Amino acid sequence: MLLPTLLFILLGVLLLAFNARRGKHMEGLKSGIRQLLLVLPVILVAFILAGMIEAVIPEEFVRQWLAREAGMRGVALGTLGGMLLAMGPYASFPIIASIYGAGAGLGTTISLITAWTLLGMSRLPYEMGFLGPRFTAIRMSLGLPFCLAAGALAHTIESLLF
Amino acid sequence: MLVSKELIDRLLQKFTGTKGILFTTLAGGFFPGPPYVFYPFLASFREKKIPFYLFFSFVVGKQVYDFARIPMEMSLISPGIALLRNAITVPFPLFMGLIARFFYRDMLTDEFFAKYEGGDQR
Repeated sequence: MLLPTLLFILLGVLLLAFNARRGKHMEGLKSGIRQLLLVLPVILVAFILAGMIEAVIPEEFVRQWLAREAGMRGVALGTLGGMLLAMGPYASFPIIASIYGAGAGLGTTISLITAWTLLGMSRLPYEMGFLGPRFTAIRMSLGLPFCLAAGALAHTIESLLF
Repeated sequence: MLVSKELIDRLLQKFTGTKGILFTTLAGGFFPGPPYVFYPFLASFREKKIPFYLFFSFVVGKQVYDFARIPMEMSLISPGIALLRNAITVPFPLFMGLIARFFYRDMLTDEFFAKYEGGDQR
């Protein structure tokens, strides 16, 4: 975690300098701090929840349904799980990390994240409200095979390399 | 802070074809804000005469790329998983945009919403 932290600090300083040239650095800083204060309680609860999930998932279930051995079954379950994970990134990502930590395979984990980004239910009320059900249906039906493909590809990579 | 709404507006209207899909998916990835900011912004494009597949690519680009989300993904899940997920899904919005272009080649965004959603219902 040290390397990403250092990279983020470097990127943060660069973006701060870039925005300072446009006179927008204070606006950006204030927006970032506002977001941090808003999501801090969510992150705290999400990590507690994630720890509990990791401890409570039975090993047998992980081996049969989520681990590398589960193959496309894990990918399909990951896709379904990602769709149903109707929360923002601050809450969803620690939960996904805990499922991965519990022993889920790469295929399951990647399909979980991809389905959360492409098919996540949390955005549906906004999308259907502003763009209508037809648009949502087109996007979801096009997105589903790509989520399965992402999981299948990750599963293949895991099977070949690890 | 890096991407203004005017810039997105210009991009969506300037490019077409495969190049347009490439630029609009990237623009979607750079567009800041949560769904309650993003979707009201998108609604302002319902009446515009831009190719529907570009509008679609912009939405999918935001969902898959969302570059502001990458640091969160790396720190809250794992850097390796985040990199692999992003590497695998890089071409997805482009493919989805191309498929949308195949099915809705000549349809403009305003025509799509007029035909399927009964025009501007906001």
